[in-house]
Amino acid sequence: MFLEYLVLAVALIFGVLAVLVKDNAVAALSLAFSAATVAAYYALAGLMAASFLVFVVYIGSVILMVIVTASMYGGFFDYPRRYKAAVAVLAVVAALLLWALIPQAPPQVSQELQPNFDLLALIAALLVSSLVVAIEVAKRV
Amino acid sequence: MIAAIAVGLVLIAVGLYGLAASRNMVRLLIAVEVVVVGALATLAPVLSTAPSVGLWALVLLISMAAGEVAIIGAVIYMTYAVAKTTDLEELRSGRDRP
Repeated sequence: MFLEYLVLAVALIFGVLAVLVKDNAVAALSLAFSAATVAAYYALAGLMAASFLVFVVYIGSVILMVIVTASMYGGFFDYPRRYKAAVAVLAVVAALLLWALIPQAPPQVSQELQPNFDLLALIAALLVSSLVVAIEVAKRV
Repeated sequence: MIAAIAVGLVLIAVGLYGLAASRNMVRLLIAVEVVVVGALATLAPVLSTAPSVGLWALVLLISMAAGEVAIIGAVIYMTYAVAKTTDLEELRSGRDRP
């Protein structure tokens, strides 16, 4: 129960940061963290198909496009190279720490993921292709 | 689960505030996505009580979010290509940037 409250609090904090922070790239990254913690909340509740959908489809296509857009027009490409390297190293270290600290239990995939997998894969392909088409159309106007 | 609804509603309110307060198109896009994340959090109890209905609602919500991002992203790219700015105040004033 405490972990669920903690995850929801983190989602709330990053969601508020996404609106209040001035830098576009940082705001998009905060949004990605907020969405990821909501997906983690789904996983904690045992909703594996929903968690898969949010992690892979929503974050993998929608949020990625938001991050790319915010980076293009938010000045992240103008940041010094040291800053980008520091952010990348920090992200890798945080991921490795989480990997090491969280106890690795054998995965218990519920049965709801298997029958929906074709549908989820189809939706993922559809969304990613629609985003690519949108970018290409915008580039040619 | 009540906590998820509360957090979702607060996120929706924060996103709506961002929509009303921001003057940059990229920030508008981010604020819309904060609203979507709030709706995702609010859907958690529905997914627990009625998984099939909740899953379809989730698919619908994510599809809508992808459509929003595709349209707003295309508008941002096109606006920047034409006006070299994404600031709504500058676009409204109609000034040419050097």
